[in-house]
This record gives sequence, structure tokens and C-alpha cells, in this order.
Amino acid sequence: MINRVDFYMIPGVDNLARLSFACKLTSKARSLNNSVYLFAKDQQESEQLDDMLWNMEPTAFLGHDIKGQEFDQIQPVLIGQDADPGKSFDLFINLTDNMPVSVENNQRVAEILHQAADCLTPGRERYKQYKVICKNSNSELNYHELG
Amino acid sequence: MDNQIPMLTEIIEAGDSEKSGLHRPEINAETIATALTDDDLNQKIEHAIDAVLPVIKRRLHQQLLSALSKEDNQSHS
Repeated sequence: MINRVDFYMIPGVDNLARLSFACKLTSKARSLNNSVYLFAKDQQESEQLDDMLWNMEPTAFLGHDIKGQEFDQIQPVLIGQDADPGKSFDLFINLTDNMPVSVENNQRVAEILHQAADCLTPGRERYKQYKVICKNSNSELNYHELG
Repeated sequence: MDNQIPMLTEIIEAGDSEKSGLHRPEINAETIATALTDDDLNQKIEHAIDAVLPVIKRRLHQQLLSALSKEDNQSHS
């Protein structure tokens, strides 16, 4: 059951910065022992996230996998292109421009937007939809503008 | 100080340790000290480590999951 949605607005129009911020959020969530689903827009982005998570700080070890791999059901961090990952996660990070269908099954949702119009416009639409969802479920809806 | 020693294979092949051009630098404290202060070399080493670390992490993770999975299967059989 959803209890919180956070919108993060990052500066610039670089999608790589968006993915990098998603990795930092994932790391923070794991340090709190939360499970994370990274909803990527396509296979290329999934693989990019996979590489970025393995390439985080040299001493960090953030075990994860891409959905469809042998041990994907037991991963605390999963990357996938399915809007419905098949189970609930503590944190669902949406990196697509679509409203995830099963998003309400997850405890928290993070939406990361950058300043490009093709990211902002669908992001605003989702914000409106989340507003309704949060009102109906008595959940928090937060907006963070990152410098 | 002579910091050149002949390569063993070349001595065997040529039978002449004094033959010119068949020597390699001796690894001594001086060589190591020089290498440690060589920014270019250090950067190359850092890049090499950066490149290999993600590969090690990924393999380690897979091996760990395989081992846990086997252990789990054995405890259930």
C-alpha cells in the first residue's frame, strides 16, 4: 500500500544525471534495508543502470539484477521494464514517462524529472494523477527541487 | 650500481648474458619509489582498478547467489 510519493526535480536536461540520481536514491534506500525497483524505459537504460550500480563507489557493494535473470525474485534491488514487477517493493523509482499501473502496491514512489520538456510535460500529468491517488489513500505527496 | 639483469630465457637461448639489448630493468626500491611518484602510471593503475572492480563485484554477486541457491536446495531436499 502506497504511503508516500516524492517528485525530485534535478537541474539540466541530462538523462544520465537522472539515472545517476536514481542510483544514489537506491543506495540510500538500501542503507535503510529497503527493497528497490528501478522501472527503466527500455533495455538499454536497464543495462545502463546495471553498469552504473556496479560502478558506484569502489568500496560499495549494491547487489542487484535485471528482471528476467536467474535470481531476480530474491534481489533486493531489481531493474526492469515491466510497469508491474510482480511483487511489491519498499521503493519504486519511475524512470519512464508513463504512469506505472501497479504503483499503488509499493510503499514509496520516487519520480525523477529533469528540465527537458519531453520529461516535464508527462511528469506534470503524473503529478496530477498522484495527487488523486495520494488524496484517496491519505498518502504524502512531496516535491523536491534539487540545486 | 648495475640495475640491469639479463633475461633468463635469452641467456638460455643466446648463451651469452653479456649480449647487449637483452636486459631488463631490475625491480629495486629505487624503481618502486620512482613508479609510486609517477602520476601518469598511477592514473593508469587507478583506471585499471576502476575498470576491473565492477566486473569483480558482478561475478562475486552471481557466485554468492549461486552458492546460496545450492545451499537452499540442499536444505530443502
